[in-house]
Amino acid sequence: MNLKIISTTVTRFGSYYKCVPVAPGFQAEVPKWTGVPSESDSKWLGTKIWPPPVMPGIRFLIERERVGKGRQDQCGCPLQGSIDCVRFHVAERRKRLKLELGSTFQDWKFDQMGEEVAQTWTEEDQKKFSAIVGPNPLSIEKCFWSGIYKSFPRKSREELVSYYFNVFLLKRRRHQNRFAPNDINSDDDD
Amino acid sequence: MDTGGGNSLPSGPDGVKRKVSYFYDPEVGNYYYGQGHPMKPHRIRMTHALLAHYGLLQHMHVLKPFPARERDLCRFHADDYIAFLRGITPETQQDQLRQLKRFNVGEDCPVFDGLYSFCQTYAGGSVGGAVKLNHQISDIAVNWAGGLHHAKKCEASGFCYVNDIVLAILELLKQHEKIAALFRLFWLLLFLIIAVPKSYHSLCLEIIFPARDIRDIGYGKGKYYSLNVPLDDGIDDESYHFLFKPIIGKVMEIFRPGAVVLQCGADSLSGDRLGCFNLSIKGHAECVRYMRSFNVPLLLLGGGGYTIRNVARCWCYETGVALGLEIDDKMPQHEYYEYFGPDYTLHVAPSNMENKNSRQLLEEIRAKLLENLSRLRHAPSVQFQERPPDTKIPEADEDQDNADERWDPDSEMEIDDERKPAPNRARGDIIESKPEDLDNQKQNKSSHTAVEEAANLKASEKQPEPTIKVEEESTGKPSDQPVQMYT
Repeated sequence: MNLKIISTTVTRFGSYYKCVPVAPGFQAEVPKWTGVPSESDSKWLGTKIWPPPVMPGIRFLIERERVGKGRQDQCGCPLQGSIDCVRFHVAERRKRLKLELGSTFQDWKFDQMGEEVAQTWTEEDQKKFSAIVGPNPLSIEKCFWSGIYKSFPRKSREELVSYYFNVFLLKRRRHQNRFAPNDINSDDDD
Repeated sequence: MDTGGGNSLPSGPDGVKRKVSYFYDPEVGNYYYGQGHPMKPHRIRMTHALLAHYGLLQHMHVLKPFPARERDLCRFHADDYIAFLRGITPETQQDQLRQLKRFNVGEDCPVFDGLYSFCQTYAGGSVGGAVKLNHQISDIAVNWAGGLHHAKKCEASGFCYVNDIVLAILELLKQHEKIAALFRLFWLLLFLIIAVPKSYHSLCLEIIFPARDIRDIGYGKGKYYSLNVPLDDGIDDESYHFLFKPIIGKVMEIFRPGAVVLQCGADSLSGDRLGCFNLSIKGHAECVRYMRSFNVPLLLLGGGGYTIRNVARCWCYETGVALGLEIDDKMPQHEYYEYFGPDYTLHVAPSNMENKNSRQLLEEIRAKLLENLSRLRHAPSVQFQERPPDTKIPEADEDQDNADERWDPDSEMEIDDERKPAPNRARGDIIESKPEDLDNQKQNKSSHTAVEEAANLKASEKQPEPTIKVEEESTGKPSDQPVQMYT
């Protein structure tokens, strides 16, 4: 039986794949083991970000929560689990994290995560973005990114992608969670 | 399980705690494969946010990876391929159609903004992790951006451009004589024991990263054992561990690797966009827990995983397992909280999909693998032998010929493109031939043959068989029918 195999195709068109022919080209050269370990270049250790260097005179004064702690069962919000409740607690937790991490909060770009990203976007731009992506981003016929790039010439591609994942998709999920909880989807979306 | 392999970790062999290093590049979340593509680096950012809000990051050494440079990547990859990756951009790709085709870039492995930087960073994290382990600074090193093991020497493949696992293994081999690598693909468990023999001038080690066909395992001068554990759709936690634990346990006991690389592809989770398994997060993480218990330096890498909320859940939980810390199921509110609704929990129940792996089949596979492993164990010494090619049924005298060539590092095996299936290899076999002396080759072959004969009978059939599966097709995915995507 011949195993002749054919090339792959991306799943946007369905859940098809065909195998790629395995070609020669897996060979890696490994030097002889002499029994004496050879040195690894310490550049590979990267840049240490956490724990931060101890700076004399500066102390982080924050009571740490138990490691692995999740959210409270109950909160004092008038409508627990509502959009406002979630927003309030997210903001609260981010404040706490910022205190805990200090400048590492920015190093890790937490200031560019989540709805925070929308702060540099006008209401109008946000509406325009949503309109271009369309009500059904699942539609595979429509490539919305070319439209997005054209409509926002002053925003970098990175900004646009960031907005997409941090704000647009988040809003969509928020809506699904409350109005279509049996139809949640953040992955077949684009 | 204590293998007593003499690899006590810095934290102490019996310590619950481990020193964990975690590599993260804050830019990683913005790399974007493009509209419609299932691979989303954003999942790594989601994981990072969860780790921070659960308080786990604060318990690790967190490092920004050193970006691998061209010459670092060329430790494995071809110069012209890396030069291509370095130069190609979405704007210039139209002028490079031939190159795109040559290097298999453009479709599954699209050109996107920052592609080369992405490669540099995810490779840097994996090699960095290996060095952390080599320097004995950490017991466990984590790089969720890595694990992209399909990349070949001269081309991209399966969403992977550079093979960070190969690079990490090469780094680990500087320190350790033997490495075990375990790949949790969504349809296969693959173990690779890579060992560097002592008495060789140079060695071309062939490292195997199967795309889809376990028989295309390659061969050559590489000294390694590979072990393939075939799995069918719908495998659940219990079935998975039924195979995983005893087999790994035995592998670890026999080979005693100096370090372990564990690729933690999350497309084996229930509900994955492309995968078709039914593992829970706890079930998936149990493998991490188990590998950790061997007290051997452990490199945890990412991999597949296309339902990104579940990937983030899984890798967050598995980081906790690496640290020896349990985390609450009720997720704390955080930047990506809404991705995890409507329940906002860490754990998600598996579905009620049918588990196509019958108990009987699993028992057969397990028994066979353990038996083969036992035979290795009782060998007086584990000698490294030329492994006959998988592309055709080895004839009795072929191994004799191979034996003569065995110590010649300069000769190269050719790979037959017209591959035939290897019906002599029942799935679940240890592919390495027994390390007995040559005189017994024929004898050994006949002892394999009995089992393989039964397998041979199945070889010509396309439909799945209820007994030990022989070939790819019998997983229920005949090659000419639509199947789920790969890791």
